[in-house]
Amino acid sequence: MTTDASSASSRFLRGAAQTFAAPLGALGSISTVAMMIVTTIDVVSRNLSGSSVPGLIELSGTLLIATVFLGLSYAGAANAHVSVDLVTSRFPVSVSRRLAGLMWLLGSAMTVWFIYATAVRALASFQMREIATGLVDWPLWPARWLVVIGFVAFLVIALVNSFLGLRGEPLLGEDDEDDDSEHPSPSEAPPSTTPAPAFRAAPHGTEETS
Amino acid sequence: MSVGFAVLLVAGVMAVLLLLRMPVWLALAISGAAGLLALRDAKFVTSSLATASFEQASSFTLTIIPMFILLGVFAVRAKVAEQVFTIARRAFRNIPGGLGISTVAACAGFAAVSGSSIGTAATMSKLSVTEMRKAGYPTSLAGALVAVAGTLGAMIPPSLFLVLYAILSSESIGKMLIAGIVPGFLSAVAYAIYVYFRTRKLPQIADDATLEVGLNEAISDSQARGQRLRLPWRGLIRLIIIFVIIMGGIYTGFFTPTESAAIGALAALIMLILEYRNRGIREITRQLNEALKETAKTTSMVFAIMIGSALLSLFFVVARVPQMISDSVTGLPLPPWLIVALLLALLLPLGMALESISILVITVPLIYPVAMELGFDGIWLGIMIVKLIEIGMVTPPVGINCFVVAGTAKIPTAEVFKGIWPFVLIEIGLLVLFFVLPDLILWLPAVVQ
Repeated sequence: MTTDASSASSRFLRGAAQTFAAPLGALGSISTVAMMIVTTIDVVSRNLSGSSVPGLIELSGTLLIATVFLGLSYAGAANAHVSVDLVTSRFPVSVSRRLAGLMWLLGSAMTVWFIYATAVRALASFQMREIATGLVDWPLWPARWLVVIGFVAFLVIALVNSFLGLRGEPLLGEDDEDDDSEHPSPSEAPPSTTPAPAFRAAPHGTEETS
Repeated sequence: MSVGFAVLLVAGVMAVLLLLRMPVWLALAISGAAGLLALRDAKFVTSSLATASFEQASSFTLTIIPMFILLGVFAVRAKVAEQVFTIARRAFRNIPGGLGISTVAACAGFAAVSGSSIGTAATMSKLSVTEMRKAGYPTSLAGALVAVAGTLGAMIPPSLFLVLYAILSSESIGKMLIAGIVPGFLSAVAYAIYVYFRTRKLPQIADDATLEVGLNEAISDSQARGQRLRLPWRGLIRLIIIFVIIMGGIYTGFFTPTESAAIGALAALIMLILEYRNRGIREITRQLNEALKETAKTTSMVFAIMIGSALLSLFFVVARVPQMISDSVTGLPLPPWLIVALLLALLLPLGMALESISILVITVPLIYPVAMELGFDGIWLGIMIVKLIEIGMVTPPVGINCFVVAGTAKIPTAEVFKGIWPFVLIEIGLLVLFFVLPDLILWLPAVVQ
């Protein structure tokens, strides 16, 4: 639910950002399940046949990259990246939101630097056909490009949050209703039912966080 | 730029960004990059950004983190906490303070399948706070008990904090997890003893207490006292299965910690499916979908912080900050134990101001080398640090567990904080005990294969 003051452009951006991030989050989730299955298969194989399945450990590393970086934008859109509102919670809401927007804009700039750095490394990796040598020669360049894709997707979310925050509107995920409040998240952030306290170290996230 | 000025710059930038509510991982990354830029050049920083991003998220060993998160999420949805609480209620029904002790026992039990203290506190506060209040427990005691018992999730394996500490310090993940068992158990016993003495004089806890709770799986006092109640033993069996998979695998060397986490997650997935098998495939799919979404978000959040902290840690190394601290403190005319005690004591105020994972990633690269230089054990240090972080999770102004309990149980946060201080004293007493008798922590990991 967006505020009444939200403009059509804000609503469009919110919808687009969520639509953009959701499939990436789904892919990240699938990677997590695949990681679990792959590791179990490796254990079973090792105990039955006495040897690991070649390439499964390397595959797990690539799947972890997919989980982390494809989920990065999803976590951003769901407001799950932890932040500290010890000070800003004392400010008027409009000031607090604009500060958050400013922080996300600065974060966007940093993300651009991440994108440049990882893209340069991914390009070099692709050109030299970089591999990890183990039981099998495992190509590393696809995973390096996944990192770049993850940061680019996160940049989109960061820019949307900058726009919303600087306009004094809630960030992505801040205005979500918890549709599954029966089950609190086991991660280290408060559930959505947590009222906004005077001081707290909170995830931006409404649903979660260790 | 001088190293001293660069350190001040980094500390200042980090403090400002964190306090202005920048996502923690970006605040760590920006401050680390700023420090590196001050001491080296842009090319070095760019290279470091690429290396940190990839190296922090591409190792097979690190897959233990999403697997533990997945395990905890599945366990919550498989209703393990509710079922264990029901059994604990029955077990302790005739003891003064039995309800509170049951809460502690259920928290400890659930902590054995969940690596999260917030998850434990949130789950248990739904089950037990209202019930304790109806039984005459002061609101402050009921809320504070769940908040502090929830921190057992950070100590009793599988614990994300212990894993993160092991990764940050390069200690053995398996030994670190095993080391959490005794302190976690002793903490639970200490909370239970306090509840026993505190609630002994409460007249409201009577045999005829008629209570209702909001969740189907939880039971009332009168039900707990009934003889014909069917207890959900499957919850206890599931808990034991997961704990045996994880700890048994690590203890015997049959699995690596990473492998045991994956197999534990798979077992929890099967339990979730079994729990919902009568409600149809659609409900199972919905539960899985929600669980995986939670896991994806949390995993990305944790790894993003690790990437940011890797940059900050690299700055510490380049600026030789740990050596500077080590040289400074080892030169003091103080015994080593006092130096380490003072360094650990610094975590208390940090815990009152910063989020828990941030404290871990910022302080471990600084404290660990100094403690090693002074001859202390890394496993012992990890338990002490996590214990201090636990205290930070329940002390104002940012005692996150207290906010979680207050929000979930719909009670005033101030009440929870009011009741927390006796537990903080207990925690400090336990810390002193573990400091004086490190073998309490170290004997169990010493026998791991």
